[in-house]
Amino acid sequence: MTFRWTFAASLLGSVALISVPAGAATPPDVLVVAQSIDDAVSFDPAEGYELTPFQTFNNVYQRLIESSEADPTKIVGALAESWDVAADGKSITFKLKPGAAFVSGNPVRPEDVVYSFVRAVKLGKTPVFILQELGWKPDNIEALVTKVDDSHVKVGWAADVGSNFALAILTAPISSVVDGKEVAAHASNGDFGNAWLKTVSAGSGQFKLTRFVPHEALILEANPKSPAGAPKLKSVILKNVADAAARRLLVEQGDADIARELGADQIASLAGKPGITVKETPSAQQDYIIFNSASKSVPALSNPAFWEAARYLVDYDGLANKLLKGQYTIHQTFLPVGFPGAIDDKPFALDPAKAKAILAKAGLTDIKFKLTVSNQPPFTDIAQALQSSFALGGVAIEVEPVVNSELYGKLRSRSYDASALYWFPDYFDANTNASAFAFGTGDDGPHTVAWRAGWNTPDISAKTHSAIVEQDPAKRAVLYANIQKAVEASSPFVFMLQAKEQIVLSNKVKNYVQGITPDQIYYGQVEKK
Amino acid sequence: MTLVASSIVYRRRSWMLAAGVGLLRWLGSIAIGLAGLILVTFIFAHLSPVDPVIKVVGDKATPETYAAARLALGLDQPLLLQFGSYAGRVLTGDFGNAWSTGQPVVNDLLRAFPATFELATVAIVMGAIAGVGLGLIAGLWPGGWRDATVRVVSLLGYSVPIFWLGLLALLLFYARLHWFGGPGRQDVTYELMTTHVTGLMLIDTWLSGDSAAFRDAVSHIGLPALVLAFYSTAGIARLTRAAILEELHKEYVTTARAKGASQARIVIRHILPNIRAAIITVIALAYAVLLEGAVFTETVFAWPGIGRYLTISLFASDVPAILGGTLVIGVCFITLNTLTDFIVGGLDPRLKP
Amino acid sequence: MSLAATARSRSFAPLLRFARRSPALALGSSIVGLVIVIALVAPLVAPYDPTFQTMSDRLQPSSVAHWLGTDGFGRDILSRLIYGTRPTLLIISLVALIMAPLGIAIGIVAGYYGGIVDRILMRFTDMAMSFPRLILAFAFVAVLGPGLLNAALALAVTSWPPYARQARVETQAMRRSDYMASVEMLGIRGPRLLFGHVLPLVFPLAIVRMALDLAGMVLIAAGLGFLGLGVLPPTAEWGKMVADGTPVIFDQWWVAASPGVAILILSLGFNLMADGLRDIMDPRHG
Repeated sequence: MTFRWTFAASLLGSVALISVPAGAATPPDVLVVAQSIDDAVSFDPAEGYELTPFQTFNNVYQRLIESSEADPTKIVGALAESWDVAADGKSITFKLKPGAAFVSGNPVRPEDVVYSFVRAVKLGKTPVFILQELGWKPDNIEALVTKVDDSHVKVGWAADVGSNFALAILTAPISSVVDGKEVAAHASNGDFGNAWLKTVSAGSGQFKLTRFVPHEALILEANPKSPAGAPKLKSVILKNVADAAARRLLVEQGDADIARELGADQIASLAGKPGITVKETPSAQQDYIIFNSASKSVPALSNPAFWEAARYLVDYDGLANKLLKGQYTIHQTFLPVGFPGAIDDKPFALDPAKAKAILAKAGLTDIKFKLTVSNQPPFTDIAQALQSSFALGGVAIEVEPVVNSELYGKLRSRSYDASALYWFPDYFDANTNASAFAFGTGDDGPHTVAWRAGWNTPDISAKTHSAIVEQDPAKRAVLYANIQKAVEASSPFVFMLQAKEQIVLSNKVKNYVQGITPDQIYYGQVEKK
Repeated sequence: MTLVASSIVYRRRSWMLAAGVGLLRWLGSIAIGLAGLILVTFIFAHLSPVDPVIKVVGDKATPETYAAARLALGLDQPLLLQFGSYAGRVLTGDFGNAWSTGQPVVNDLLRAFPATFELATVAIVMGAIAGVGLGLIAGLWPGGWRDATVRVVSLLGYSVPIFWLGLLALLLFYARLHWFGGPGRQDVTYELMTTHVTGLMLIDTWLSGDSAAFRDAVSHIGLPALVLAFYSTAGIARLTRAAILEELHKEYVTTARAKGASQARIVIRHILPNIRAAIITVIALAYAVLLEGAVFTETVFAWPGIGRYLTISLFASDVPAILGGTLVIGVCFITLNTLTDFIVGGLDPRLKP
Repeated sequence: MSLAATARSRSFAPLLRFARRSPALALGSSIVGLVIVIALVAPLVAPYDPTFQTMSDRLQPSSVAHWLGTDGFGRDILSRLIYGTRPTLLIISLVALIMAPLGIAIGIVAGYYGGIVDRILMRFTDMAMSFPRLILAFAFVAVLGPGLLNAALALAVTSWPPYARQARVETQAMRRSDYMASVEMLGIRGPRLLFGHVLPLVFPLAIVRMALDLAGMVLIAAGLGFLGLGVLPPTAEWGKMVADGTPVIFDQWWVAASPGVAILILSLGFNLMADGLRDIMDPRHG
């Protein structure tokens, strides 16, 4: 009997101890951002190619030039004060801002710019393909990027591209300028300090990356000496909260100031809750279907009639306005709205009868294929919705969810039938998407997305090539409009959706700005009141 | 006199001998278990469809880089040699670099281990108190309403999907009632202020002297620990009850009762000491199972321990991380499992999980 | 396992007699039986096609049209629960069909032949027994890819050791019995003896253990589904359904709640069955 009482007492005791009210406000000079950082592997700007590093780079590094926050079509100086295009159109000379220094206190020198580009090209990590658009290779980079004098650096290119295009490339995250002295001091085995730079930062941005604990948190601390000006906040914490429902509760209860990547249903449930605002910004992310026309197992996938029918078997409205409500808009061309040259043309809607007629006319019956998708939301959801709408047209889809690395492995080796996935532009120029989707010249050409789809299209490829050489922006826009029309009409791609980013902010957060490309996130001017 | 003394010495020696043999056997079973685990994980790694070379050099590498990396990883060697070097690396604690974090798996696991250890320990303490308590109640009043209640509780404990229970607990006690802290080990505010000394949040926040931080840590561990504890209570209660019933029917209890000893005295002085070994065994086994159950609980509660590390790695098909996590949990599991064999010796095979 | 218990379990007749006396067994078997029947007649009792999506009816609460509401695709949850019996039962029967025969075969061989065969097999069994089977099953599926068959295989290859141990103990006990001596005197040896005469005697207890194990299997199979390692979409599976309801748990709780209850009920059914069977076999452990 005594046990009963001891037991009951201890149980009561533990309950009393535990029952403390939860929920505390975040400190006034610290911004807490709840998001998933599980994708982060490296914060070295020459290597990082995932969303979380991208969202960090603009805050810890600066580039020579950058797309303006307010109007991304305008290019403004960051570390560069001014620049001059050479008469032959094959190089640009940049004048560095005087007195600029890295967070270490080292001055920003032309040598640092040269070092940054040389290391990125020689390291040859994932995003290096962006710099390779300029014809940069490990054996010519040192000749192309050179110091002129103590305040000038000359950037030249070997590829046949215009200077506007070259400037666009230099706004990409991989063009960030690192502190050459500091990084070189941490180099080992000729890795240009890559191992060290994975988890820290050595730049001139308004913050410095002080701590990265994988799967847990990322801590940015103010760099008051930044050439971009001192930030208003003392620190920014990116807290890994993998579960969207938990992110929503954190921001709702004031435990986080910003929550990213909430699902449509979470956003809907936050409507009308006091103290929080849902901020919508257009995003350049597009979701599309790709068919592998080189597939041996499903011959129909290479048939233009099937491509056409597929355009009528997507429930665009159901996806954008119901399943993923508020997070997407319908968009059916390969350039996202907001990009120079983009056209907003929406000729397709769900029409199973029309699709059936097209398939019947082409003699295509009993089509069945495997749709390989990422196992992350919303792609498993999109896949199931496609499965359902394609079934209306008599096309059977088997969904195969895989991890991202496996998905990209399959795409790159062309060992898949079809996939539904997303695409982000790599720099702010129409060519970033055109060269991927509208350039396929067979196995001898570059392995673009069109190549992955087994799409050999010499005509469109030639147009894409001439568009990049064109110097006049207005004429370029017309060229890209035509290419978009051609791809929209017939290609193994079905462009479905363009994302809208919905960020949930506590009302205490002021001056939060976010641009159209994934790296255009700036915490420097954010305040909490 | 001398005769008795020597027999005592002899008895002590034989006891020590038996303990020594038992210890050796225990270490032997751990060694065999570990060897088996290393073999199994090695086989898994080779069955995996993910190409480890691509994971190292990236998928845009030239064929030359690819071949060099393949050579560096020793993948051209005969399987037996590869197994040898794998076993050698594992035994020296080198599980390779995790693909999804780019850091050595060992570092990741060392960081995650205290969280799992803390959660499982708090849970087993709660579960043991509740389980032994309920088992006692049911065993001392068999057949009545108390027994029936305990039986229903343990049946539910056996039958409930723990990930679902965790979700419902979060929904009710965190989101609706605000009795407990949310997912994770701490509120973000305290996370910055706590210096990590032991890696055990309850101790670290206690050491920090900030009572609010300590209460915060308690309110965060409370819910996942209770869910896990419920899971282990069932087994402990059932076996405690069975052990008590068995003892109650023994002659010495009848004798003691005949001599007029009270029920409380019989339980405290006679029964509990006699069933101690059985209870310890069950608790140790439950503890081992908790380490496994932590996979779900940690995933649901975003608890940054080994279980969650494993599920994140599962999603990323991060083979070195999966195998490293499996090995570490496996070794703990084997140690605990065989430890009970060592303590109690041969046990009724039906009592094994 | 004591000889007495073995003797009691020689035939199924006493089992049936006890079933009438043990309400736990009766209740448990009815639950399991009902679930099996539902699985068999799913197309007849399900009000909707479990994969039919109606985007305009997403996340509806319980109503006359949808008794248990709809999920994130506007699919009827009740219909999905009904069809969800199939993958669950399929996985656990596959597991039972692989693990029990494998374990029993190893146990009988070890117990009957003894000596070096016994020692090697039992060392192997002990080793496999000390493995964390849940974790190994996860690792197995994670490495080989999700799917029903992989999930079942993973569970089976990590769950046979207790059957081996039990079968071995019983076989050893039987070897010493008069019955076995007389069978051997008739010249029956080798596989015919093992599988013709030893196996039937070992079988009943294996069934009890299986009932007990299957409850755990239901939970692990659901767990695999919850982590996304089970069947592929759009197949309705209870664990996956709970996972699908997780993102909306704080607002549309019913999406995750009802499949959890289904898992609980089936698992409870097996546990009750096992409990009842154990009462019969050995009242001490009731």
